[in-house]
Amino acid sequence: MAYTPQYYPGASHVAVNRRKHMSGDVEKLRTVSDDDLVAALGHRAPGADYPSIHPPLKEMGEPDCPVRQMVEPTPGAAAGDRVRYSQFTDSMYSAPSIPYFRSYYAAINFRGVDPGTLSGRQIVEARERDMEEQCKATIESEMTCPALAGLRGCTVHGHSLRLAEDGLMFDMLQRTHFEGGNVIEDKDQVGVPIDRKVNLGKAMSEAEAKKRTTIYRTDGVKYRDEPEVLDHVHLVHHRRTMYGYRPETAAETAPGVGAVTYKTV
Amino acid sequence: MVTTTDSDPVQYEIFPQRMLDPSSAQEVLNRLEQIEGVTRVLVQGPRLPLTVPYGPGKGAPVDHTDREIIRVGDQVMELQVKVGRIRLEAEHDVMEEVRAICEELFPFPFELKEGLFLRRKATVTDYAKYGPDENVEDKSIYGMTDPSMTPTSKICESCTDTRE
Repeated sequence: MAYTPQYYPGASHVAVNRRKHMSGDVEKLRTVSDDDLVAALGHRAPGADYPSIHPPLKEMGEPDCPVRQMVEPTPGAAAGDRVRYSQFTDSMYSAPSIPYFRSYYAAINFRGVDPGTLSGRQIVEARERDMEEQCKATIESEMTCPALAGLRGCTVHGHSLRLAEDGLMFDMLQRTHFEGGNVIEDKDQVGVPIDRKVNLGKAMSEAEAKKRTTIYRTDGVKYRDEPEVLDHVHLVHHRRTMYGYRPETAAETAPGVGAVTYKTV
Repeated sequence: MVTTTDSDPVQYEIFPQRMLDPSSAQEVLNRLEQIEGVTRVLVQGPRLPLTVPYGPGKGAPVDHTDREIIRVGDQVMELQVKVGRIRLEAEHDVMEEVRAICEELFPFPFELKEGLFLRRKATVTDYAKYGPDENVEDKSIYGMTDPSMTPTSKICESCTDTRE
């Protein structure tokens, strides 16, 4: 029988969403064209060729290396693309995803990506076409609500601020705005105006955002109401604290010993 | 330490659950200004820059639609922040009037607190900006300006730069 990883403990819909993000089993909610995405990212002109930093690997003649023979290069690496980035910000007001789960999603489901996780933003560096593939999948899926999350290369502090009256996350560079019920992006991710309006579709309603969120909040699913998650976090914390780099030597939490009781402060 | 007495003016802070649009802010400020006894009102929130301040797009125009010109009473001013909090000072207790206005205008919850939000004594920064306390005619200016404000960006005529 094939092994199916569980990815994350818990029974609430927040835990289910976290598992979905990690496994890559996310629903596609909108379509953004390749040219629109390239314009929003701002690394090259829409329709232009991918600039390269080295010739295609096939033309270069690689050294005789068993690792290179085992690992198939990603399309971006094979073509010699530049390394470029995309960066997302998620509002703490029940945004669908959060930096940690964006990173899990990228690292588990895509090859050749380098996710960086910070408190308010999450960056992915990769060869340009690999990064675009990952970014497109992220922005089109339920991981992104155009009002509660944003493609922001800089000035991400809106994630921790209250929402505007229309429900849009604050952005001092105003990269997005509402137009006819849809969220329109008319600047690239670093705030430079672009010559097109990228339609990111409708924002999620408050109820839908709470249904799709991966954030435990006191006004939604409380972290303390998730005993399996708490137990798992305690287990990891205990092993890491008491046994450092040899968690397998923790006799009191070994398989078959039985339940270990942790005292929640 | 600031000691308050019954004769001291009272201060309030309005903290709405959503950050206010310029039109809502103008409406609220105008209504607050009409309450008898209100002497000072200050808005606080994240700044709306004219140009991208840093990053690869540094210098590009922002043109934020919330950076609007609003009219409060007979004063016309350009909003430089997204209004997140409103702090006001009154000569006597106007808590219920303020609460009634907020309940009428905000379709979302808000917090209304009484406390000390605008300072009453000059700090070292004030000394550097305005000079010795005895030379400052309008002492209500204390606490009303952006701490990082440059001397050239005056908010009113009484904010004269007294430094030599």
